[in-house]
Amino acid sequence: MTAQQWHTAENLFHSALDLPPDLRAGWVAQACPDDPGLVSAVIRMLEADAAPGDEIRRAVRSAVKQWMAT
Amino acid sequence: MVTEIESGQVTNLLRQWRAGDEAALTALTPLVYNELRILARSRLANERRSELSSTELVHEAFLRLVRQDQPDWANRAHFYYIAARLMRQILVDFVRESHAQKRGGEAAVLPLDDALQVAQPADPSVIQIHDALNALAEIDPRKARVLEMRFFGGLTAEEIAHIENMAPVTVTRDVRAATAWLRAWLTSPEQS
Repeated sequence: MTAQQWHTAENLFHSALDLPPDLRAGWVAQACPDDPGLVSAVIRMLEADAAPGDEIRRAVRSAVKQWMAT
Repeated sequence: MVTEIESGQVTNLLRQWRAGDEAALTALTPLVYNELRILARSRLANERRSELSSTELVHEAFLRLVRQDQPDWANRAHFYYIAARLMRQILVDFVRESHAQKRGGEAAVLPLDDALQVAQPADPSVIQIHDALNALAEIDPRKARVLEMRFFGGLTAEEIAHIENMAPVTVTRDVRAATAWLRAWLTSPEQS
């Protein structure tokens, strides 16, 4: 992904978040029919956003704990 | 262990750095690094250590090093920024070292109660998070910095807004998009 693609992906991501969850993926696909790579990147961002979990914070916390225990 | 650094020294260095003096940042970094290590060591004998997060470490380091009578919000935010960067570096180095030791047959064994609290098998490693942040930095260095502050220093949107000179609501929005990108990358880096 280039910086320009990321900029576009971000805008699509924020616009899609304004829609009800079940309409988001379809809207993104319609918004950029010529760039399936970008569509899939944005859809994966939306899926990640909707997925429950705090795995990054947990991973950092766990590493801190192990570092302090050594 | 008692910190021997005069609190005024760190406060002054923070001010100088905020005024654009990069040499002040160079001088600050080892001071903060040492304090974080001292804190981690001093926590060994403390039962509360199992509750301590990197956020709390960073906050405690600030209180010990700066101890200012007049709270300086911008100084505090900038201190947290340095400490977050250092926490990332410390943890990446630590995990790399312990992996190297494991390969040498000296796997670190955690007590059972600690083992129950460590990351779940599906969780990313700190190294993967570090790699993902580096990948994000290639396309958007500012947001990579924002996430570093968020995850390794536990900075609030207001604190990050101070450092990046932007509105807290924009920070919150950026964190949401960048975190989504990061989590997608961690799931399938080859597609991102």
